[in-house]
Amino acid sequence: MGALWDMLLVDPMSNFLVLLTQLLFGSYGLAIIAFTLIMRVVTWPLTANQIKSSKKLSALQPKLMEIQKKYTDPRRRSEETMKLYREEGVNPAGCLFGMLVQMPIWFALYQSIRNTLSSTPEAFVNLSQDLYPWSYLRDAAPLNEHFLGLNLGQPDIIISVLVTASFWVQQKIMTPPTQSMDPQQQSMNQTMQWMMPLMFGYISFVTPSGLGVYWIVTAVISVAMQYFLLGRDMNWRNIFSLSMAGPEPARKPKPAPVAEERESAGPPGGREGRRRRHGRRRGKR
Amino acid sequence: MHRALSPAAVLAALLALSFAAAACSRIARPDGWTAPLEAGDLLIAGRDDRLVALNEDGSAAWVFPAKDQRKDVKLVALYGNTALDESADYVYVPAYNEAVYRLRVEDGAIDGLFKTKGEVVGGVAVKGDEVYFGDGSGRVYALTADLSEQRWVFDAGDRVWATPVITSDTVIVASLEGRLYALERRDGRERWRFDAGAGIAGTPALSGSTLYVPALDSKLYALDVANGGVLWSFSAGNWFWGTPVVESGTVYAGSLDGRVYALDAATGAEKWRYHAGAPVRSSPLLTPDALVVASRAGRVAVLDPQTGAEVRTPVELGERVLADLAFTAEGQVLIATTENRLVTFDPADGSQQAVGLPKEVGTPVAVAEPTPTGGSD
Repeated sequence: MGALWDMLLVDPMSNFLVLLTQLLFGSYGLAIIAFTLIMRVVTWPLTANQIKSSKKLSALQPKLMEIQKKYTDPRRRSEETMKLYREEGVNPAGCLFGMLVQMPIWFALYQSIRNTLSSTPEAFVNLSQDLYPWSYLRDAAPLNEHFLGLNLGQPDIIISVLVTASFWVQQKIMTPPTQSMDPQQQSMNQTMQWMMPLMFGYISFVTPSGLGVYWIVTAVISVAMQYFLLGRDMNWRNIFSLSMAGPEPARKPKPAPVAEERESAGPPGGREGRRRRHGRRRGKR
Repeated sequence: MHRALSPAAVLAALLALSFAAAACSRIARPDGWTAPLEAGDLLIAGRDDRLVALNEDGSAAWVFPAKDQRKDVKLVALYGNTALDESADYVYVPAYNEAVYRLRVEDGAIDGLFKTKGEVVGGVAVKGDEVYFGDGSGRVYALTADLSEQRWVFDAGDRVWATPVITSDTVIVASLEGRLYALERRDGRERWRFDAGAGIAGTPALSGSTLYVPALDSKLYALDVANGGVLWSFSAGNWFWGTPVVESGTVYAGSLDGRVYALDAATGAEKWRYHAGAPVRSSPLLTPDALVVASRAGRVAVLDPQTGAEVRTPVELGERVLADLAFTAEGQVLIATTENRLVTFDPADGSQQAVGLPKEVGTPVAVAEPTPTGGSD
C-alpha cells in the first residue's frame, strides 16, 4: 500500500517539484508557489462547488432558524432541516468535501518536500531512487532549500504564525454564517473557528516550512477565489469579529410570526430573502 | 440523523488528528553511517549518537559520550569516518552536532574539541601536525592536530560532505554546490576550481597525479590534480557517491544505480560492471585477491578484480549497509549495518560474525548472526 501511495502520488509530486525548481531558476520556494497555483487550478471545480454550497447554506440560514424555533423535538427538527436541504438542493457536506479531497495532496506534499529537500544524508540517498531517470531532474540535486530567508526543509515559527493567521482569515470569510439556536451547535462552530487555524499552525510548527508556504498560498488563493465568486457578498467584516461568523447586523432578519414565514418562499430579511420575495411578487403579477 | 457533536469531542478529534499528522510528518532523523576503524586492540564504530570502542570479546571498552558527558555532549549522528592521528593515540570524531572531537583511543576521554558552524558529515583528513575538514556551512578548516588553533578557513559556498584530500602542498575539497576546490595547504588560498554538472557528496580518490571524483550528475570524473583539467568522465545510470578505489590501472566505483564499475584509470573505458541489485553508497574495498562490495540492501559480494565475476555466492546481511567498509590487520572486512551491528567478514572463505554494538560500557555482549535473508531494498 505504501509503495503504491509513493508510486502514484509522492514520487510524481516529488519529480514535479524538482522539475518546477529547475524551470524556476533553481528556486524551491517559487516551485512550491507554482505548484500551489497549479493545484488550485486543477481542483477549481471542487473549490467552486464548495464556495457555492457555502453561499447556498448562508441563504438558508433564516429558514433554518425558523425550523429551530418551531420544532423543539431534535428528531423532528433534524428531519425538517434535511427536508429543507433537499428542497433547496443544498449538500451541507459540500463545504467539507473540497477539504477532504485535498488531504491526500497535503500528506503527499509534505512527504515530497521532505524527500526532495533531503534534510539528512540518508534522505538524500533515498532521493536518488525517487527521481525519474532523466538527467534534467537528477542533476538538480541538491535543491536550494533557502527562500526569502527561510529554510524550507525545516520548521519555522514565523511560517507557523502566518499559517495560523491565514487560516483564521480564510475560516472567517469562507464559513457560512449560522444563527443556530442550539447553544451546543454554536459552541461547536466557535470551537472549529479557532481550532482549525491552531491545528494547522501546530502542524506547520513541526513540519518543513515548505508545507506552510503551500498552506499560506492556498489560503490567499482561496480568499481570492471567494471574492471572484461572491464579490460583495463576502463576509469581510467577520475577520474583525471574534464571535462566530454570522450575517452582518444590518442584514439580521427581523423576527416574524412563524406561520406567516412558513407561507413565504424566502427568508424575511437579508438580501437573498428580499430578492426572492420580490421575485415571487413579480411572478404573481 | 442530524446530531450535533459536543465541542469537547470536536476538540479532542482535532487534537488527535493534528498530533497524528505531526507525528507522521516530523523532520527526518539522521542515523549516521560512519565506517568502523581498527585502533590497536580496539574496534571503533558508530552507534546512532554514540561512538563505541569494542574489546576483542565484543564488550565495550568505552562509549563516547560517556554517561556523565551526555548532558553536554549530544552527537546527534556520526557520518564522517573517524581517523587516527599519526601516533594512533588519538581518534578524530566528526559529529553531526557541529563539532569535531579528538578522543584518547585508550579510554575515550576528550582531548580536544572544535565547534564548527554547521554539521560535520565528511571525515577528518590528518596530515602531519594538521587536520582538515569541512562542515554544513560550507567552511573548510585547517587546524593544528590538537584542535586548539585554527590555521585558516575557506568558504566553499555550500555544504561540504566529502573528506578533504591532502597532497604535499594542496588541500582538495568538494561541495554540494558541485565545485571542487584545490587550495594551498599553507594558507588556504584557491589554486583552481572545477565545476561538475551537479553536487559532489563523495570523497575523491587520488592516485598519482589523477583525481577521481564521484559526482551527483551520475558521472565519475578523472581530473589532472595540477590544474583541474578533465582527463575523462564516465556516465552511470545514477549518482556516484562512494570513494572510488584505484589499483593497478583500474578504477573501481559503486553507483546508486546498483552497479559497480571497473574502468581503465587512464582512459575511463569500461572493463566490466557488476549488478549489485541495490544502490551502492559505500566504497568498495580491495584485498590482495578480491574486491568486496556491499549494497545498501546488505548484500556483500566478493568479486574477481580482473573480471568482476563473483568469487562465491554473495552474503545477504539482511540489514542495510551505507557505511564504508574497513580492513582489520588480519585482512578481514568490517561492515557496519544501519541496525547497529558490526559484521566481521572474511573474504577468503565468506565466513562472518556479527556483534551488536552495546549502548553502554558493561552491557552484556550481544553476538548475533545477521539474518540470512534479503535486504530491505
